[in-house]
Amino acid sequence: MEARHLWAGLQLLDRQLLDRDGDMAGKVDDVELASDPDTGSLYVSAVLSGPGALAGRFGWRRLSPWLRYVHRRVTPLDTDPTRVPLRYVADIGDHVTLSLERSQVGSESTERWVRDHLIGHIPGASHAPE
Amino acid sequence: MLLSDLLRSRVRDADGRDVGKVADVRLVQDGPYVEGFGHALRVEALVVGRAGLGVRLGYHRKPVEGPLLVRRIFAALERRARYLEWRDVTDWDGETITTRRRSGDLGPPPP
Repeated sequence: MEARHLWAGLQLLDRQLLDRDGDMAGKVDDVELASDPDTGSLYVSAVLSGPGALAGRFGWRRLSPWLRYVHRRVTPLDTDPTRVPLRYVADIGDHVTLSLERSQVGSESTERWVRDHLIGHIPGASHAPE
Repeated sequence: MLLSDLLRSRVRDADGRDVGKVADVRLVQDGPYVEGFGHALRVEALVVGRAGLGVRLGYHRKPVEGPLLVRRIFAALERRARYLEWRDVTDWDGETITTRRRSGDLGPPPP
């Protein structure tokens, strides 16, 4: 069987991420590549999603690591919330399906932090709209 | 290393001539097996040059339908784009990719 081919810019970047329950979990903002020192081949090692990854894509080289650092500090996860290793990517099609919950993905953790620490402190934020 | 760095890089051929900027990257799923995903995606080739815009927009793909005029314009552009296999890349410093091939020897991207 012939191996599957993909155009990275066309079929991977900016695609919608869905978590294992089918809920939206951000977009593919960049893709991490790793080189095999023996063969010189480059492989996709992770999908990046979140404000820090997007800043890097726009060439903001100083802003990107700073945003990723802040992002790590404000999320309860032990790992870099921006980075989704390839082993957690279940499928690549019209969208990219992950085998994670969206709470484990960078974009969602930023949204949750803003809700809990900023929006939640605005008077009336805890009341449902009438 | 990031895909966005690759997409920002320029390519220089064996004679030191500028071939153009990387427009898209072709991946093939034939790498080492990764639990949960399957075989890893390997960088197989680059599409180089401004004419590669058609590839980036998807007009080169056979099933893609579109207005006849637009398809013809992008098909003509794609024929001028250069397809560089990664095995012919000798160096990448994060900004410039150097290849052992001459730009005139590089063909158009596959459909």
